[in-house]
Amino acid sequence: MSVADFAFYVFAVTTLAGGLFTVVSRNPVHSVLWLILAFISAAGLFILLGAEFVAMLLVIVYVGAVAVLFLFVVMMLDVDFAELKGEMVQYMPLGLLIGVIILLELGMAIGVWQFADLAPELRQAVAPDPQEVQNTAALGRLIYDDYILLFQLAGLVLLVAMIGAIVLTLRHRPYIKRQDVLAQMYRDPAKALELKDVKPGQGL
Amino acid sequence: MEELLREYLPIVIFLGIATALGVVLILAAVVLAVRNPDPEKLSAYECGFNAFDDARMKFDARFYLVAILFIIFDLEIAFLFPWAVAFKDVGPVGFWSMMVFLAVLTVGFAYEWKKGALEWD
Amino acid sequence: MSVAVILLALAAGAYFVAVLEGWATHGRLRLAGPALAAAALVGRESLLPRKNDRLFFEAGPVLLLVAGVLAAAVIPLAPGLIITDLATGALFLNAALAYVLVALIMAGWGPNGAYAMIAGWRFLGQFLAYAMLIVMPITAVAMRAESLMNTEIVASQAQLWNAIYQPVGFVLFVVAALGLAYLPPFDLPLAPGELAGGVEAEYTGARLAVIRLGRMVVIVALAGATVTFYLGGWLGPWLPGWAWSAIKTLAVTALMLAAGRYMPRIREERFLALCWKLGIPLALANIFIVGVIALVVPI
Repeated sequence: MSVADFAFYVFAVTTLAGGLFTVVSRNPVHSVLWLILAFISAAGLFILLGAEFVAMLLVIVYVGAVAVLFLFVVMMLDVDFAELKGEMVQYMPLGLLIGVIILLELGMAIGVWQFADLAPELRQAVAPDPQEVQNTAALGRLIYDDYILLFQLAGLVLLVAMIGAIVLTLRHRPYIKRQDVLAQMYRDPAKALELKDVKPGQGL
Repeated sequence: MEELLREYLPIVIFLGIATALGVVLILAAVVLAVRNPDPEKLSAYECGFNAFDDARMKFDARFYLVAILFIIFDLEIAFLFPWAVAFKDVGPVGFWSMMVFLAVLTVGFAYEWKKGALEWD
Repeated sequence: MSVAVILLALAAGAYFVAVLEGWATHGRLRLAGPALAAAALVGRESLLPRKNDRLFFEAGPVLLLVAGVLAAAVIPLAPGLIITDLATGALFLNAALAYVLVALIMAGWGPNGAYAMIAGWRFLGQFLAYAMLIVMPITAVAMRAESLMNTEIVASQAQLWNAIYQPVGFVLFVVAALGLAYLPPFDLPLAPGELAGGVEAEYTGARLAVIRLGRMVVIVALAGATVTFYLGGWLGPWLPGWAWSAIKTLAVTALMLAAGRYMPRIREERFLALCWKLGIPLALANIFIVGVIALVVPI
């Protein structure tokens, strides 16, 4: 077994273990951190495949952004997770059934997978030689020029996601007190303060 | 392939050294430091009164929308890096194609700003 | 060979940061201070708070240290004097520093103390603010070098430092770095005056020593990154490369530590608004300007 093989098994087992503990751990914050472990090992697997750039992105985007969002969800939800775990037993058979079906489907899809005779050459034709160009640059040469349409569509998808997130979740809460620093600074004592001359024994 | 892995080997070694350093320091304390715990000492630090509740409670995060938008921006960055590296290879076409992409996202950014999604709310 | 040299450099750098931080906070420059403090900390009782989350409580400080050390692994001190010169070095630096957040959340969650927990969430808010401003300026740097390899990024600055070529990116990166290392004026996750040390509040003894050491290493790594990306790394006349790297890194560290002394603290909310409403438009403009310049007059 070469070093690469050994590394593959280490990362593969860690990824699976991370995924498993994400599902079964009792505490939601623990789940998120197990998920992060799964992401790191998946990044390791990508490096073994030679896809350095994707590996780094996986860590930056998933650990940096997605895991943060999960943490937000965890801290904002007031869900009784113990109760949910209890229900898990109830739904276990159904979940297992769906899992098995998906597994079978995947198996069938991969089992009958056939490459067209031309496929490797077609791919070779567009992709720069991996020996000469490192893969970030190779991606760069393809995406922005040859696949410009798909690239712009990706931009539009991101725009839709952005607007969608705002439309779906933004609601202003008028009862919250906000600080307006400029308003505070420009407050004029002459207008904010009124001096009254109170006569003794009379009050206002 | 093997060459690539050889580049990452020092990282693994460094990772090992750093972890070992941290663990050794903590373990050194087990040997060196005094240990004399009592319940008061071990209670969570809080000012003036006993901690009466679990600290890990629900927390009202006002900036969750920024977090969602942050993911989208992070993905945008994912596209920026290969572009930056292949910047001179792709020439003006690549440059302007990226500028259009960024312009589309700037529209989204302007929209979220205008809608007040960046406010503390 | 270079592993040992860089580890030594890192240790020396972290020590110097500790000396400088003592100077920045107490106004006294004591060379032996950090060593004495560290020795005292290791000898002191290291408490495990009740109701703690053992795994998180122990792993938080170590992870912070690991994140800093890994970030430093891709920073070149001189040509050849680097742990590993990855083709995606600049990205690797980001990826490693993403774990600072994870470490602090773990450290905040672990002890089940209100102060630590609040500080952990605060850092999460701060992360949303600075994170974009770490990566976006790096893109502009990579555009010039046409590579994410840190040695090539340094080599691309032979004619002109990036700090002069793209000053906006430089300023944004330094501000974001201050936020990442939770240095003043962005030190609310520690908030000595109000949360009694924040994420560090429940840590005592050796664990506190590790968490502080981790932060020092993160600061050195960030200063090294600033030098690599913007101040021409090892480039400089007369002196050998490593000396220039060391001098510049220490100068940037001193600057980062001193800067906070003269500014009021900024709340997460204001920092978030500042970064998103001012920082991101500026970072986008920076990328655009650098691109146009590079297309018209390539330097």
